[in-house]
Amino acid sequence: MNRWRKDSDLKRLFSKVEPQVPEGLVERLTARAARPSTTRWAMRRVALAGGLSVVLLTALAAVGGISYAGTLAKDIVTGQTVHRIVFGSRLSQKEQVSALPQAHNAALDQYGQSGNETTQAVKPDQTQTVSAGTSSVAITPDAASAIVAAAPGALIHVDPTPPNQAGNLAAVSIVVTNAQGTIIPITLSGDQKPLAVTLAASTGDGAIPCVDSGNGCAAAPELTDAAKAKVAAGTLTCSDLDSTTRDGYYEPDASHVVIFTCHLTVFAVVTKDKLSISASGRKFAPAGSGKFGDPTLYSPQPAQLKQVGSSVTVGSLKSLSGHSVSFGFFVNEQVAAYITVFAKGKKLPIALKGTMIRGTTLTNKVDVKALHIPVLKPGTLKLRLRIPDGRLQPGEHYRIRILAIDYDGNKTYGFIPFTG
Amino acid sequence: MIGRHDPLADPRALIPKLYRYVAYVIGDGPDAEDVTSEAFERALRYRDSYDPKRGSPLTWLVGIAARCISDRGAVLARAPVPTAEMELHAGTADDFTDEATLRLRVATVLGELSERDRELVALRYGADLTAREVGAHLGLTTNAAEVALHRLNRRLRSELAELDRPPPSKAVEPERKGLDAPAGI
Repeated sequence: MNRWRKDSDLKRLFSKVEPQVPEGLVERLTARAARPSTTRWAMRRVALAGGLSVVLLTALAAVGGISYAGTLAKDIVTGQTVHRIVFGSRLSQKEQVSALPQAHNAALDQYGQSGNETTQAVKPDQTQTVSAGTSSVAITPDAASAIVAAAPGALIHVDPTPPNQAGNLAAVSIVVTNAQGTIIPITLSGDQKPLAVTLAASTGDGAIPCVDSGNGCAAAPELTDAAKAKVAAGTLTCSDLDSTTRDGYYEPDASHVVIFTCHLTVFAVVTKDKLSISASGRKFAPAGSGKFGDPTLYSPQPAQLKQVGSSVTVGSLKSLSGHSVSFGFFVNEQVAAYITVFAKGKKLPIALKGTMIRGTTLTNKVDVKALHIPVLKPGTLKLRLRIPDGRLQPGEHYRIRILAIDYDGNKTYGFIPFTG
Repeated sequence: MIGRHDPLADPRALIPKLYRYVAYVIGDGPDAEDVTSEAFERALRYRDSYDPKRGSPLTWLVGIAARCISDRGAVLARAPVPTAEMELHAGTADDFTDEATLRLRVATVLGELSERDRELVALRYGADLTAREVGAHLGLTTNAAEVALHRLNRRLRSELAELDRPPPSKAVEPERKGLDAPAGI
């Protein structure tokens, strides 16, 4: 029973298409393996930290610090931004408050002096602006209470100049941490209203909203029309957002982008070449490389197909038998396209030999039911299909089906009818 | 203290196979990278307990990765299906027929496989395990693993051939529903 071993053909095939190991993964893990095990030291550190925490909590309890933290230090907002953060409500106008809010600080309240902190505490029942000038951050009462309810005693950090986001058209980081600065993941459930982050920017000219959850900036999908209607009605919930990313955006006007999200992280509007993760979570190829997954040739929405030219031309070929069927279509992003010709629901064979794609004539001597075309350069594709002899009848109606699958796996169908 | 048989003495040879195994099971991409890293971290933690009598380092690593995938099952179940993840790395837009098309064909065929067959593909063609190692991983005898691999290979060849086969001349395929899009695009 050694028949299975005769799989050298399949081994060769799979070796040609094997998944590419991500750049740097081997080096990173190899370096990790070379380091001595840190388990025991880590356990000792954990034990030490635990012991210190007990001491610290005891000291805090003695001076009422725990109670203070639980009632006042709920939100900390830092920095400057032009973004308004509205929790689960319709977009509001940006507000400008000239005076800084009074900071709630244990040292200030108890000793009448402020430390070197650059953060400002915000009462949960106030709409606050962090700093004067052109920048402002506002958190509505609902926002503060909803988030703090998810993480009692947590601190909200709003950073309009998040690290590693230089060059973005607009960006803001919103995270919740504990008192030690450790980030607490905040994820809203499906029936909750999403957080709305408004960025002073616009899409177009290759710009796109994105959400960075630590692996790179992922393109945010545009809200569906149904979701936009719910935004207008104020009834949008997390379950209305894209199920994979739990994000979605829309543009209320030409100068603002609103990203709805059910988790807190870094939000931005970037040019496409800065995207590193697609809307479905896939890593992009290097920007400008032209490979499938080039972010500069990508759209988070399903591909758009348009027919080019008003008709399909049916003719004959000079040196080959059969008929030629010439047509063109436009696609706005990289896709894997599948072309099929139907006659009364039956797929006609397409002869590869003699079929021409963008001026390139194929030579393979096989017939296929579906012609696969990886479209790496979006734009207009002019095709001339060769249909074997006797398949097209004069006066009969046919139609060409174009199936375009984009980098996120979104499918778009297009149909072009023609007469033999 | 690492024992005499350090399973991670040559990680450079193991990591690509580990990644490919994971990628064939859950799909190529960031999730596969995360699971590979997580499995490797677990392996580092337990490298002292590796017993060479129970299998090769690669088999041991694949077992750890399988548990990592199982632990993340609920999350990964929401990931796009493999058929939607068409990996293309062709050099130019004119490379219509070679590597890029081959990737599409293989991705299409893998998308049609059952979970069990995908696991077999991942073990045989991703991790490059032998039938004996595949059997050990799946709890099968070597003979049973060979039979399973034989059936898998037969199906793979059949599916790949089917993709390029012209339709039978007399067979009438019923009109598929859901294709009633606008006449023009």
